[in-house]
Amino acid sequence: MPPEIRVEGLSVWYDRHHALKQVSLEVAPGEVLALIGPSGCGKSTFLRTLNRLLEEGGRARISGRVFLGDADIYDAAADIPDLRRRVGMVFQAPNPFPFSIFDNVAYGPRLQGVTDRQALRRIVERSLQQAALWDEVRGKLRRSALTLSGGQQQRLCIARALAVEPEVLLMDEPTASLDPMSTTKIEELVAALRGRYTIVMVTHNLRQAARISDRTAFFAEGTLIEVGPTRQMFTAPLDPRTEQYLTGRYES
Amino acid sequence: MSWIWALLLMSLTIASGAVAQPRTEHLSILGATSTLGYLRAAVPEWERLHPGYTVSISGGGSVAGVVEVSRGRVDVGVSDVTPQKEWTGGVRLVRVPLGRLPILVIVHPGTGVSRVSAAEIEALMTGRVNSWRQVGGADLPVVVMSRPLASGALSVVEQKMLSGRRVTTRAIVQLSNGAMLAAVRETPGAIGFLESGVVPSGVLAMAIGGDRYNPRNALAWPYFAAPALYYRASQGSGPAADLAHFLGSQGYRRDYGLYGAAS
Amino acid sequence: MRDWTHGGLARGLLAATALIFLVAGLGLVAALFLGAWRFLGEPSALSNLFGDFWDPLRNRYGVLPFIVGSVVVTLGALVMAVPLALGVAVTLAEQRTAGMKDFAVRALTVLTAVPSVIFGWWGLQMVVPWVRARVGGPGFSLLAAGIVLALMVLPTFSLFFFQSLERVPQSLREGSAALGATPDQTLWRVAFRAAMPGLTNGLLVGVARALGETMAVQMVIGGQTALPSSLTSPGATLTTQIITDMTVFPPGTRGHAVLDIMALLLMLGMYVLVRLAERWGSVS
Repeated sequence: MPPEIRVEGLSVWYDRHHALKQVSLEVAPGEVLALIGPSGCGKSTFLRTLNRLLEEGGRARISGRVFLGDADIYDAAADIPDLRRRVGMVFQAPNPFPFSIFDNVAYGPRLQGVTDRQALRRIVERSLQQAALWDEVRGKLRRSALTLSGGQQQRLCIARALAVEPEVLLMDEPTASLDPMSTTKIEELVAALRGRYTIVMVTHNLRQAARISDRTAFFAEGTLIEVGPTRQMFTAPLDPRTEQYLTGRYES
Repeated sequence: MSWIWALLLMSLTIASGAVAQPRTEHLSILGATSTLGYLRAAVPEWERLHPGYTVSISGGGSVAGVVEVSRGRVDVGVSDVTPQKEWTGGVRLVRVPLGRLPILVIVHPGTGVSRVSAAEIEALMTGRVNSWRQVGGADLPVVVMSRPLASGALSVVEQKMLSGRRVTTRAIVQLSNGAMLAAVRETPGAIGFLESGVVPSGVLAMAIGGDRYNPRNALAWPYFAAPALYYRASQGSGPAADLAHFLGSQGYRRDYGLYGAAS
Repeated sequence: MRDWTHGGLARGLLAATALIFLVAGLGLVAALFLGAWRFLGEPSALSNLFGDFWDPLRNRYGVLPFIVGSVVVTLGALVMAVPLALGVAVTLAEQRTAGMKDFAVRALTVLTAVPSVIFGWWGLQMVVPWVRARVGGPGFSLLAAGIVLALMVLPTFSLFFFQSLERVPQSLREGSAALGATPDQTLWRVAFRAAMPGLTNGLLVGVARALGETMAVQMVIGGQTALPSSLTSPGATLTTQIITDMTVFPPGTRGHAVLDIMALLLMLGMYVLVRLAERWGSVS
């Protein structure tokens, strides 16, 4: 059973800019939460606080608490590599390493010290099957990942994230750079992964959010405006700003 | 595009300026580095006596001096060694001797040896003796310093001092007279040879087989290069011949280590 | 500004320059081949050439000592310079402030332009006595030449390495970090691998500079023509021996033909290196 995520009073500043203001939110185990909102509203920033990737840039200041299960991931004693193993991430543009397909998927397990070839092969096959890529690349695992199409590369990145057996999957507009066919494949994949992983996904595509998420959170200007079951959000939003956004009349 | 035209115009102006100037004759000297000091001092005097002439001097070695003057690429060649037919290509050259340039065997002071027999110097330079202890000195390895094959000094050393034997292939090769002096001065156990009329500080000059070099009686020292200027015989009475004979007759050559008139 | 590359006159000029370049390059190789042929055409030329004894006045033309010298000195320089340069490049790439990076890149660029004779002079003053005192031998040595070369190619290596590390996309670093990699792991397992084409390219430029360097090496290597017996013994490289014996062998002589062969050997060595780098540098 994947863990729940509980965010309490989370704020983020970039230098002077207050990018995220006192966000509190819960994600239930195994559900798919969609984050929507206009550009620059803080939803990507929020996503990156959940695996502490925001700190890689070195400019952000963060306050508040984020619990993964029982543990506060911002605790001074928190183990960041272990956190990121438990919380996988898929980025907006496919970012496969310039290695072979096999080495891409095996990257995470190897970081954890798995060296046995048989074990690695099993992990790679299982992950590629989970990411619905196996049938397209079997027998070609030695080829460079860069020879794959954009959609295949994104599924490879999902397989790469799944290979370390995470509990949570963060997806930052995973279909933004893909064609409709590939987008459909990714959406089917997310549907198949629901329940096994707690999934938080940023999307600009409202229909996509409506199609695949259990609940939806609407962000605007760094504030969480509203969060609730997707069906209810899209039919009867509580906040007028949400309605304005959903009907295309919102102006930030 | 206009800057290109400006550039073209500018270079044309400069070129035409050069053509329009009063004609100056240019002569060139090239060859052995051992006499460059003297030539640099004496050439300006000749230039002063011959207005309208300029002379350039460059090194390059004895062989290059002979080759270049034979092919007409310079007007005067300087060489420590006798021209060979392979270098001159049969062109007749006139030789103007500059005198004798002593070749001293110098050693690092730490060797503790300043006097050797003719047999010992041969054994040292050919690499048969490799510790100074074997010739009565300190317990130091012998480090032989030599010059490139093109060096006139090397051929003098091999012919006169080593009776035709070759300096050891284990020798360290220094490209110039100055580099040789600096290297011997700084390397413990070093032995080398130097074209010089005086014994420089920081090194010892070896007495060989009873002969010890003395600047006041330089002509008694048996080891010397005989640098000479060469010009093409076809230039019989031209400015190149005049320049060469002028340089061969200046008395103060002695100040630059060049002794005696002819060899 | 007019697009002057499309004017008839300008295009003619550009074509002419390209042609001159081509003719000069090919002409050089052809001249070397013609010069070398005089010797290569002789019976048992190769066994003479690849002997280990150099005494051209007695017709012994073994260039093996110089090949060994070139290889050992270049390898030695690489062994010393590459780890240092990687250290410099990584340190710079990790710098967050752009000003510091700019300054370092400028400083390194200036250093790459220091004339080699300066390095040679410095080697003569510092490295040769240091080797003599600390390692042994006469000081003039393959080791001293390697150290001088290492310092000479260090800025080149550092600059190339740094620039190829900088070109590794941030998205790859993030992808690695998001999988739980520590910064060190990201550096070794992703950044270096992704930067490999640039790294090999920089390596190649540095090796070319080291292999072709003459003056700085000549001043400290000792110019000994016998096969070197250790790192502290003097030696010579293909380039230093060419410059040492160039003046004694006017064009047309047998010795000059051998110098031509040595130059060809250098070009051949560089060609092989370029081909190897093309194979290694490409991403699998």
